[in-house]
Amino acid sequence: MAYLIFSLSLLLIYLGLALALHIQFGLLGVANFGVVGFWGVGMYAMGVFQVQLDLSFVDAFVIVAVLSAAVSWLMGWLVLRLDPQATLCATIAFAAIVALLIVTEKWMTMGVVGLGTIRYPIRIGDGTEYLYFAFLLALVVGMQVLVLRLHKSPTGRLLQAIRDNEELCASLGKDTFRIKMFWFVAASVAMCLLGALSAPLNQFLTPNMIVPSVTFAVWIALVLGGKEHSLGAMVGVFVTFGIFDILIETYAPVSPEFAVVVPNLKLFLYGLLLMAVLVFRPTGFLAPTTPPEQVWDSLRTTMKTGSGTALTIAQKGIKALDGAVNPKSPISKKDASNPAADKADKDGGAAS
Amino acid sequence: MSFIIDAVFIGVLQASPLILAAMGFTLIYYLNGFINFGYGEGITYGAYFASLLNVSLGLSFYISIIPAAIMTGAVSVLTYLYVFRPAIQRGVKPSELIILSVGLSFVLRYGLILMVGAENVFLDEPPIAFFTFAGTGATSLQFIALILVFTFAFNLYWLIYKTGFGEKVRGLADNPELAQVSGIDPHRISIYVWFIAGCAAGLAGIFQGVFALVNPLMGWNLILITVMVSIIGGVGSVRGALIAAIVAGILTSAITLITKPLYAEVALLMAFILILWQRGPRVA
Repeated sequence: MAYLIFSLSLLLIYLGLALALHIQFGLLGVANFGVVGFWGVGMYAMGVFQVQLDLSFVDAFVIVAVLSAAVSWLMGWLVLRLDPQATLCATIAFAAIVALLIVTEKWMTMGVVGLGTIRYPIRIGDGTEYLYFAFLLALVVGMQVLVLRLHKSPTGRLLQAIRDNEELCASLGKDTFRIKMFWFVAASVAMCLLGALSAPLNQFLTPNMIVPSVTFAVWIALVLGGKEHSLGAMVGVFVTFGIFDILIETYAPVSPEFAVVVPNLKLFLYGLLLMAVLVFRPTGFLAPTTPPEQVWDSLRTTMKTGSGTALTIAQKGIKALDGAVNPKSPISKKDASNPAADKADKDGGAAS
Repeated sequence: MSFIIDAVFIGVLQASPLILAAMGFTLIYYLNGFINFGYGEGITYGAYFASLLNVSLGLSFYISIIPAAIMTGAVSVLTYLYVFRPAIQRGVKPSELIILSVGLSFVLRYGLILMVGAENVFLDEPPIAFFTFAGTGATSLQFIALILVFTFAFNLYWLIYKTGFGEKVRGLADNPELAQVSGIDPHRISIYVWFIAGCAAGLAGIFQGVFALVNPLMGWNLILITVMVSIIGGVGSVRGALIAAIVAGILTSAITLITKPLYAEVALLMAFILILWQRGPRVA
């Protein structure tokens, strides 16, 4: 039972990571392949502050939050202007740097010896693990609700619009870099903090926890479930982690000699499943929540009603000029009855 | 001065697997336009094919090099024919092809572990002699590896830049439609390119394996630096990959001579991120 609650807590951590990655990749289109880097920074920072500096959980958590915001901002500044393939390589390199530094900086992380013990925030005897599980559950449910609300909000549509065509959004007067930066940093900090929260679960930290398999497990879950659907992360994590790590490893009656093979078999099947999904159903099990056309429709509405966007200003300017030179111009005449504006908007949208 | 000689000498010797891997990797990247993480498994498979011939069948190391490289090339062609080509034809985008290649890399790596286990394997080295050159020593094996690597590298260079085949490859990569209209068969050229790239990966794995040891994660450990070197060398530039791999090797050995080897890796990775950042939104 104690093992089951540990597995379930870990499942929640993975679900949180997948949700954060959904914001970064599904909504923003930033291919962050350094999930384990952010997670590891949070986890080890928590360990170092608690064990080496003997801070309390809450104090350490606050410092980790500040530190991870700085790291995430730096990474955002370095990778957000790059094209997707370069972003992917830079973030993978970041994760590798974190893993290497954890091994080399022995004075801080104890290197391969390992760092422990990390305490839970509250100890209430046997119920500690259950209480912590409930806390994680509340947190991850909160994240899922946030993602669901984000999908329904104008911000969510704006993020998807930036993903699909950043130049056009910038031309509509949106500060795309700042918006991307904000949500990238928010999601990365969430990953770091999930790492900090998983430190007490593991109790003892070793460098072999900071392996690329963590990143890929999260990616596989998200892509399987549906990277652009608000519930895709959840479905994906339940299918991968839920079935393989919890159902099979905890309940399946496997003989001891076969049990050694199970983790390798699991990663083999993850890979196979991922390939099958990408070839036969690239959107994942769940199709995107908001189809691309709808994203642009909503943006066009903003364009018509909103003031200050570049295109509206340009259109108004042309109409004003035309009206001044030739009061009977077809443009300014149609403008009075307004269908022309609608048509111009639609044409503009289609052309883009 | 002796420090510089040491760094260059050790760097070039150690860079030989990387030179091969980067040149092959960059060809696929150039032709198909996506980062193929499955390429790393070519390195692993090359080493395991060599160990199959060398350790299990008892052939001499030198005799097992060529068949092992050809077998790896065949595996590479199979992955193209049965995984990447169908995916490209179904309209899977380049960013999704990368994830697909990660999936393939998992299947190949853990499939291998399921078949042969995760233990380290050692290749039977041929009897080696020790040479001294300008104050630094190297084994005959390292010299032979170096000669083979440079022979392969210059042949590949000649193939891509000086022959009709190379012209077809470059044409296909730059403008696939125009190349097809001009009568170039994209399918056949792709098979050749994936075969050559696979052979290069296999050779890289064999030399990496004989200098150190063979295990299922060796390809994965080498793929990141391979991708780095290819991107810094310039996409599709076999020449650039060659130069960047040698520079990376010399830098690594120079930093290793001063401090710990792991710091060399950290420094290289940081330099890589900064170079990407400095290039900005230009395609990698």
